[in-house]
Amino acid sequence: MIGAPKEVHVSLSGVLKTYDGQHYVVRDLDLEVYKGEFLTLLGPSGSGKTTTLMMLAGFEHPTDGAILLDGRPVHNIPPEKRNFGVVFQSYALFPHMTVAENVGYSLRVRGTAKDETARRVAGTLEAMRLSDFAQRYPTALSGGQQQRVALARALVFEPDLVLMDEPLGALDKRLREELQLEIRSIAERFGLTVIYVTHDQEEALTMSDRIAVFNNGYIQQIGPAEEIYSRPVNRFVAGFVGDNNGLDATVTSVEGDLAQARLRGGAEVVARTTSHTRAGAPATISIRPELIVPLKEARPGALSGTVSNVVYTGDQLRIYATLPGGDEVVVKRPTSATDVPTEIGAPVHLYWDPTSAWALDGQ
Amino acid sequence: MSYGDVSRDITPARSRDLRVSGAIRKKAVGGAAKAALPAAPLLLFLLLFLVVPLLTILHSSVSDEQIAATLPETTAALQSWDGTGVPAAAVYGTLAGELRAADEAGTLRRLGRRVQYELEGGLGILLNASRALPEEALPGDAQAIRELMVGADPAWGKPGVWRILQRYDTPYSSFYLRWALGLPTVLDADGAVSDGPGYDFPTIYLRTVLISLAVTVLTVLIGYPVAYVIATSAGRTGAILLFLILLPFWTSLLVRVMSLIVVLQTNGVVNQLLTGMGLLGDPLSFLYTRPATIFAMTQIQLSFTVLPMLSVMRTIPADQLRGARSLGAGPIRAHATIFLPQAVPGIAAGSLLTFVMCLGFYITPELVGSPSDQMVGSFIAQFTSEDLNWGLAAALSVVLCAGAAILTLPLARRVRRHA
Repeated sequence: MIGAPKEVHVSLSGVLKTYDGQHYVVRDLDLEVYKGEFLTLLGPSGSGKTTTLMMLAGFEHPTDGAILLDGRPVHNIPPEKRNFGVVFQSYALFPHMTVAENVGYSLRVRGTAKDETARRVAGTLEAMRLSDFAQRYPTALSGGQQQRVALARALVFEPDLVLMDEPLGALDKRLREELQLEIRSIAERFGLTVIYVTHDQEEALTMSDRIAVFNNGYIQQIGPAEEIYSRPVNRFVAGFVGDNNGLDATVTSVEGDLAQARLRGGAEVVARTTSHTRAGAPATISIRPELIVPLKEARPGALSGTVSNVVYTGDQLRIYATLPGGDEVVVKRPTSATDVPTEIGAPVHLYWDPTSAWALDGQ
Repeated sequence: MSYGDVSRDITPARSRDLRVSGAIRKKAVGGAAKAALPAAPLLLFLLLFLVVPLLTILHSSVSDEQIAATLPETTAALQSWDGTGVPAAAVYGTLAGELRAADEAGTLRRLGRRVQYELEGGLGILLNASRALPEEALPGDAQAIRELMVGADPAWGKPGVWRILQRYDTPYSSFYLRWALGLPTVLDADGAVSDGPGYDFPTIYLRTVLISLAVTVLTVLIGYPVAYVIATSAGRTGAILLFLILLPFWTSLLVRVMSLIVVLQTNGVVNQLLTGMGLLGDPLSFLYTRPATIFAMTQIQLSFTVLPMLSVMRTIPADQLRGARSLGAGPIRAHATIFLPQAVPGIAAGSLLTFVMCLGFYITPELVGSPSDQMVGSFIAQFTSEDLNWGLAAALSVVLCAGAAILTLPLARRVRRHA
C-alpha cells in the first residue's frame, strides 16, 4: 500500500464506550483505517482495544460517537449485515460442522447457490492449504490448522473488513511466528483491510502497516511500526513496545531539538526533545538497549557504571549495568561482539548517539 | 565467560525405541485396576440394592408355583389328559385328596385366589368342591367323589377348570406377563376365553406413555429458554434464575402437590381469581383432570429437564454465536443452526431423565388426577400393597422397564454419542 493514495475505508469518530456509566472503556476515539492496510490495535488487557474491535464487529454498541464504512454510518447495523469477517481468539469454529461446512456457512446463510458455494469453499481451502481437511471436524485439527480454518471462514465471503481478535494467542511461539507471516502474506494477496488486536508488541511490529497503541481507553500513538518503535511519543509507548531503558531525569536546558538532562546520580545526558520536554521539568530519558554501546574505556558523553549481571540468550548478550544514582540500564550486544566488559563488578562506560534517545514525559 | 565446555552427547543408542516391555505393561494395567477401586463401594451398593431387586422382580414375574406346589399329583396326573371332556375319575380322587390336604394346611384359599386370576369364579369352584367332600375319610370310589364334586359345582363337569390345572405342573409360567401385556388370559367354566379381569393394561400403558411424553415436551418447551438465559447470561441474572430452578428441590414432592391442590381446587386461588375478575361465572373444576395431572408433573419435572440442558449449554462458547452473526446469520438463524444443534445432547439427556421418571409416577396422578388418569405405577402399587398380587405387580414392572428401555434407547444412544 506504500505509495498508493490513502483512501479512508473505516473511520471511528468521537467513539465512547462505558458499560457501567461511570468508567470509560474507550474514550474520545478517533481512528481512520485506510483501504488495504493492516492496522494493529496494540495494548495491555483492559486498554480498550478489544472493545474497539467488538464495536467495529457490531457485538458492542458505542455509547456515543460514530463508526463509518466508506462514509456510511454502520454503528446501528447489526453484525450480520456489516459484511465484516471476524476471527476470534477461541476461533469459534462450529464443532458440529466439518471444515468445509464451517467455511461455507456464510455463503449458505446468504443463499448462495450450492455449486457456487462448493467452488468458493474449495478455492479458499486451497489457498489456505486446507484442502485435505475439508471433511474433518474442527476438533480433529491442530491449533494452527483450526486457526487457518477460522481465517478461511472469515475470508470466503469477501468481507469489506477483516477483524482479528488475538487470533494467535493460543498457539506456541514457533507456530505463532509462522502464522504471523502467513496471515500477513494472505492479507497482501487478497488485498484485505485488516484490523488486528494483540497485546504482543513483537507480533504488532512484525505484521502491521500501522500500529495504534492503546492504554486506558485512549490511543497513545498511531503510526507505522518503525515510527512507533524508534520515535515513541511517551513513556507508556516506549515501555510497552520493545525493550526499553527509561531513566528518570530533570531537564536542565533545551537547545533546538536537543535537551540536556540530569540523571538521579548527577550525570548529564543529551536526548531529543518531544512535546513533553520543558526546561526544569521532570523527564524520562528513553533509550533502546541495542542502541547503547558498552565500552571498557571512558569517553566523553558516556555514562559510567558497573556491570551487575550478564545474561546469555543465544543470539545476544544482555549486560545489566548499575549507574551511580541506582538506575539500572540494560544493554544488548550480539554474542559475536568482542571488547565487551562481561565481568560482574567491572566498570562499564555506556555510550549512545544523542539523537537516538528521547526526553519523554517524566514520572 | 565460557559455554558448553563440559557438555557431551549423552543420547543412548536405544532412546528411539518406544516399545513398552511386558513388566511395565503389567504395572500399567494394574494401575488402571487400582484407579477404579474407589468405585467399588458404589458397585457393591448397586449390586445389592439395584441388581438383586431387579432380578428378584424379574423372577417374581415368571414364578408361578402355587398350583404345582399345592396340587403336585393332580397336575402330574392331568398331563396324560387330552383336554376334551373331563379327565378320568381317578384324577378326581387325587384332586380330592390334595384339596383336603390343602384345606388342612390352610393354603386352600390362596390356591383358590390364584385359580380365580384366570378362571371366572375360580375361588368359589374350589371351595365348593372342598366343602362337598365328607368330613371323615374320603370315599374309596373315585366315581363317587366325582359325583359329589360335580354335584357341588357344575364347573367340575366342564373342561375349563381342568385345563387350567393341567397347565401348571411347572413352577414357572408366562401367565403374569401375558396378563400385564393385556393378552387374553381368563377362561370360563367351559374353557372358552372370557372377558378380562377388569384391567385394560395396554390402555394404561399407553396413557402412561402419553402423559409422560406430554410432560417431557412441556418441560423442554418451558425449560429450554430458561436454560439458554442461565447459560448465556453472566453474573446475577443467571445466578438468580438458577436458584429459582433449584428451589423446588428444597421442598418435598408431596408438599408441592398438596399446594397445587390448594391452588387448583374449586374454591382455590385460581378459581377465586378468575371469578373475582369476572372472567368466570362459576368456578371450574381444574382438579382431578388430565391437564391438572400433566401440569403438576411438569412443575415437578422442570428442574430435572433444565439441569442437564444447562450443563450442556454452558459448554457452548458465546463466541460461536457471535461468529455466526459475523458470518451473516441473523440472531434466530444463528441460534437454530449453531446453538440448538449443540444443545441437542442436553435436550436429549433432560428429556430422557424426565420421561423415564414420569413413567414411574403414581402419587401425583393419584392426588390431582381422575381415576382415568392413573398411570401404571398406581396399579403396581395397588397390586403390591392392597391386592397382594405380587406376580402381576412384578410383571407390570418388567413390562414397564422393558418398554422404557425400548422407547428410550435411541435417545440414550444419541446422548452417549455426543457426550
